[in-house]
Amino acid sequence: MRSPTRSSLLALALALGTAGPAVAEPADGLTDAATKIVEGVRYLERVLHIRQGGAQVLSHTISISSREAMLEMDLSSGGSRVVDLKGGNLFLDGQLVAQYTPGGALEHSWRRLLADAGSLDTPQMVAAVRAWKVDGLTGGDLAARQRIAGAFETLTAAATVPPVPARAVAPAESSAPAADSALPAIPAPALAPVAAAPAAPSDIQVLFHGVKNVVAMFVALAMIGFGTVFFARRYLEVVADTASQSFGRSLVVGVLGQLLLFPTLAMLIVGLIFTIVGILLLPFAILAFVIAAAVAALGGYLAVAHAVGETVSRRRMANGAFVRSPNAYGYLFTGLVGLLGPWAVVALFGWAGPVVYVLTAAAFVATWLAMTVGFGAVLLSRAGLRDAFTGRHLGDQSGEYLWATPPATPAARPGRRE
Amino acid sequence: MSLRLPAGVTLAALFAASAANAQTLRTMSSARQLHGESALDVNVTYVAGRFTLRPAAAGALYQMDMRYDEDKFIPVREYDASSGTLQLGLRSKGHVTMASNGDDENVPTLELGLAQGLPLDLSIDLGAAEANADFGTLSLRNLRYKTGASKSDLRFSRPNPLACDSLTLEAGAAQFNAVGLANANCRHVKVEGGVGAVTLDFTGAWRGPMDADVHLALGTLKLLLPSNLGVAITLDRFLASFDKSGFTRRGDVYYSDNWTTARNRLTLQVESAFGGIQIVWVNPTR
Repeated sequence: MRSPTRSSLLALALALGTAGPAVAEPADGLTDAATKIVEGVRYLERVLHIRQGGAQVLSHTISISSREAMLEMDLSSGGSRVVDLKGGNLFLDGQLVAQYTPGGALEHSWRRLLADAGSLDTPQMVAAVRAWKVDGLTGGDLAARQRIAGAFETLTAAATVPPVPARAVAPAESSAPAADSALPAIPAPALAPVAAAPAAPSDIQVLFHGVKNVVAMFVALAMIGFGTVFFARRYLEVVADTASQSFGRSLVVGVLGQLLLFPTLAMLIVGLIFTIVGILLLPFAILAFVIAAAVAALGGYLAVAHAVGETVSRRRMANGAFVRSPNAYGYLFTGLVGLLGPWAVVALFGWAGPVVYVLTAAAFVATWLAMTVGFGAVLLSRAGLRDAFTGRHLGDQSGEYLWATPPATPAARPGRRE
Repeated sequence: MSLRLPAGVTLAALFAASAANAQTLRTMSSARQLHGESALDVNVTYVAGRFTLRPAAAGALYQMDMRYDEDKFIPVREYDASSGTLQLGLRSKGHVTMASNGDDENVPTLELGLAQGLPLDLSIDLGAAEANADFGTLSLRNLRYKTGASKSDLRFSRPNPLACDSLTLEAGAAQFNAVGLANANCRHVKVEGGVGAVTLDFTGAWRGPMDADVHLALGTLKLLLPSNLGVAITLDRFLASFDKSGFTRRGDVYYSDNWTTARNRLTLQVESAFGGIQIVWVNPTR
């Protein structure tokens, strides 16, 4: 960009600059004036970015690999100067300008220059490349060296302009409250506004509420149980037989299973964490584990209900009573009535004062016992896949009572009457 | 449960190329002088390797030295003077092949120096990286530090001369240590931990109250608290142990015994599941 302004300034600066020494002796004041003018011109050049070829370097990047050795300088004008030695070709600002001998003295020296300059700041880097010399070059290497030198000839490092100091915050000693100043007290827990106390429910309401909950629970469990019988009768019966024939083992295994539930989950989590893929599977694994545990507990509870119902029905038939539905659905229905019986008692006697706590505890223990035995039976029978604990004999019952109540598992079939 | 990830071994195992997979290593050094900037918004993205943050030399806006496999990674170096935005780092060209011959020399490295005294909004996003960062020499207005599967050692070795608006630390599956958090001079601190061991050291120069929200999904959370600091902790935990010694519970909040007399106070909201919360009282002058 050549403008009249720039030409005039340069001419003035050149004239004054060259005339300065000549007139320095007769008049020192004039020399000082010329120096000031030159400095002023240079300042204008810098501000207006009109200094010929005198771009200032703001930043630099050195990039070295086995393929190339490159130096890039960002200039104050907004452009950049890139010198790249790559495969015997010298690129200047992306243009092929010369060729050199790969692995020769020029490349060796250039790489050493860049490697040594890695720790330099930009002004030091500019000074280093301008002072770079390689002796003994000939031919293409010498031409390339001259092109490189020409590329940096007019570059200068930009002056460092530090930032305006930010307003610092007050030091700790002055901003912290004094030791004896009043500190806010511990905030009191927020209290909910006091509402008018609702009227105490009547005994009838308590009774109705309790019975409603038990009936709802029974209906829900019955629906799940009937679905289980319909879709997985075989497995449910194996678990039920395991619970009835190996009650003690099921109880022990159920208790141990409950105790080991969370340690097993923890081991699963830790094991998955130490594998890269496992970390991704972690949420799904935790979810699957929780679902499996819940299904095992619920299924075990239903299996125990089935076992209870079957035992009651068989005993009633052994005593000559007529049983309307001697099948798995009937057993389950009967068993649920039995298992939820304690809760029904709690609901019916909820009005009776403190005795309800004893009844509740008993119902809770009975439920826990049923669920634990069922959970253990699920584990022992591998969710109904293994019938090793279902019992090999039918005990004291003779076959004549079993014509209407076929046993569930093959282990019990020898006693079945055809 | 203490998860001490052997990060160096892990990184070497992850990124060392096999002998048959020779790398094309490239070293890159970049620097820029301060040129009248009044503030800087810095975004650092580093996909994998070793990351070091240190103070830049006087007069430098930044200094960056990195080593990487140029066949797999692309350096990031963009500066926009008009908006005062600087982006640095390393990103992958695509799928990074991982082999495991234990060659530690092949792990990519990035050493970054940032200007001292220049107000910074700093965002660091690391992938599978082993990080060692000292923010103590920086003037931080905001800091967001995010790391994936890695080991991170962060230090605020000297007080931040500026009042920091927010400090956000996010760690995925990691061993994460942050030391001297009081020196960060941030009113609000947020720590999001995924899986691993997180240690937060709240020592340093306290210049006012601090609120900290700490969420850790799975692992151990170790809090190092100066003994003269008043601490209130609100806990939301599931299967996570907590040593209540030295605290008095009022409502849902655990207050340290010196809460009413402490000159400086830290209010912690801790949410943790499957792990433990350990409180260690330390000498404030250490």
